[in-house]
Amino acid sequence: MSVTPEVQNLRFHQIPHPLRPQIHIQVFRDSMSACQHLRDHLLTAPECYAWGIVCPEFHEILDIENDDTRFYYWEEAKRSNGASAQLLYDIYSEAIRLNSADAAILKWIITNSYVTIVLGLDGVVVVINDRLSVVASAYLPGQGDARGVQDSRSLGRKGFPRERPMRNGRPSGRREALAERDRRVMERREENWNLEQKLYYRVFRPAVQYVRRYQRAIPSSAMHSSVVSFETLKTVLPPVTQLKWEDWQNLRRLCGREVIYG
Amino acid sequence: MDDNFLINRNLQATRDGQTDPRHIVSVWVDELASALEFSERTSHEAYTLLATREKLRRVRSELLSEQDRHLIQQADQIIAAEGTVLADMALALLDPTSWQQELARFSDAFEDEINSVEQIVAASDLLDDLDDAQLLLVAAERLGKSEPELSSQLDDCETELLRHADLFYPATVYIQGIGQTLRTDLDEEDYALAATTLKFVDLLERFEELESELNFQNIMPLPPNVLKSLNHQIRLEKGLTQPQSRLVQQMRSYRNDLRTRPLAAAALLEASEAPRRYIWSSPDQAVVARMMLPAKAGHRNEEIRIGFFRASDQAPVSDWAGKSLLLGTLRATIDSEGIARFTLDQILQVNEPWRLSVEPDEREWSLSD
Repeated sequence: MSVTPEVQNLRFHQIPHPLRPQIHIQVFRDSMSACQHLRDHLLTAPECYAWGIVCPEFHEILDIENDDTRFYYWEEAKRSNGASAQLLYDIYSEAIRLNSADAAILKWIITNSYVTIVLGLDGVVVVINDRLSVVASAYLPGQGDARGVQDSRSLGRKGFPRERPMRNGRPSGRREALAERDRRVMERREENWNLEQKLYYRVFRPAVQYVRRYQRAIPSSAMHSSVVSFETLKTVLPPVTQLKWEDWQNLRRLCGREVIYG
Repeated sequence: MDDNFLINRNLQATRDGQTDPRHIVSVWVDELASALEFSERTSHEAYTLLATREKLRRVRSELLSEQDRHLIQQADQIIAAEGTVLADMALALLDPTSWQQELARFSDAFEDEINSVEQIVAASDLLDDLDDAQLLLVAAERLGKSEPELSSQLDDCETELLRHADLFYPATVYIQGIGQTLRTDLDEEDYALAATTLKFVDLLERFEELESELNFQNIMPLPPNVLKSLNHQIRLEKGLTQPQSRLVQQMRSYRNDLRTRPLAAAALLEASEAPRRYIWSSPDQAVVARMMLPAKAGHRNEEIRIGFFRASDQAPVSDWAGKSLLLGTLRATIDSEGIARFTLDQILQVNEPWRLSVEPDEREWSLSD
């Protein structure tokens, strides 16, 4: 990943295009676009928690759990035209580079003359605008509700809440008791997980499931001919039953990723 | 597959072969596999396990692989061993009120705030949520856990779903795909499960009408009415008499008329159908109440009358002036001509199963047509 000279206060990174490695693409078009994507994905709950697993260094940059901290980080990034968010942008760009490289090896890529979309082994979807040769977006499918992101923009609320649960539980003491029980079950389940297992179970598998589930309802005819949407990734992705924990570990080895978490 | 009444060949996407029932089933199998993965399950996993197991029971066998069947066997073993505990946890999550709120939000956002792909996703998610909830109740019932209150709330959700059927049209390809996953012998084999498919039948029927309206032509005549007879049969099983069931359908047809009023008005110029008559008899059979409903809804303020007549000579019961009647939850007063007057809008608010009573007697009148 090379660094271009300082532009608009944020030092941009470039990564190889997953299909044409001789071409380098910039990670976001400008600092405003970079900041918006940092806000909508790395600084928005609950997707931010998943980014904390994909990029463990994220925890060293700010307190992810704290809504106010994330909000003020964004405010500062906006004020400084992105310069104050350089560290966050750096780790975001690195995740984009790694997942794009996975996709190049695994051929988890769909493209037309306008857009290329890839999915990598961290569950990161990267959208590339091929006309402008820039990364247009990068996110973790299945970690939040896009409508919530839009609401949070218009409401200007702190912390960008995005949870919109449907299986809420009827208001009663039982709901709280059940939530507490579920929390304990998850704690017991995860207490012996290493970071890789967390990455697989909490991020990668939900991403694949989301892509496949999302696609279940969308016919190709719903897409404008010039648009490729990530749901068509299902045409190149194996089913989840063939992407079990062991399968995923093998794929990571194939892509030279096992060294990352040791 | 040719005899599957859930394959609506009148619908564009079915004709174009856009539906993908295999992919839909593979997503359900994925969900079941995830719910089975850990021996100690969260309430959400319990919910998914029970609902998805029932969902796969509805699926045509040729869409399931050997591996899928093995997974289903695993699920059955777990449900046999700990089903009641799982059902308790899952049922505690069920929240029909939230679902209705989500539907209202979707309805509000539909026109302006969300794009066509978001419409598809939201419609599919809402439909799946309701379907899963209904399947969970079927699973709970199998495990000896009856939940009449929740069941009634879910019926209300289904009514709301069908009242907003047009909002679900963006998901038509998905709904047709679901239809193509379903066994055709369900109503003979498993009545409770068959009832969970009714909403798909109703939606697909509505979509056929909608496509026909949008095209300003009837593309093809409706197929022999297997669909409608099944619909009637299951509604009868749900406790509705035939006239009650017809009234429910009539109200649905009005709602559609009102939503597509310009098209409906154009259609009215073409043909004027005879009004339909519904008759209630008093408990002592001495008085009858007649309601005439137009074949097509004109406008919401259209007057709908219920006339009260003596059974012996069909004379208006003018001496009942000032008496109160209750039609569902709708209250009205009989005037000096023996008539109770409503607007169509009020009539559309009447809940199933169209119970009528006249004060001071609280007994229900019997409906016929």
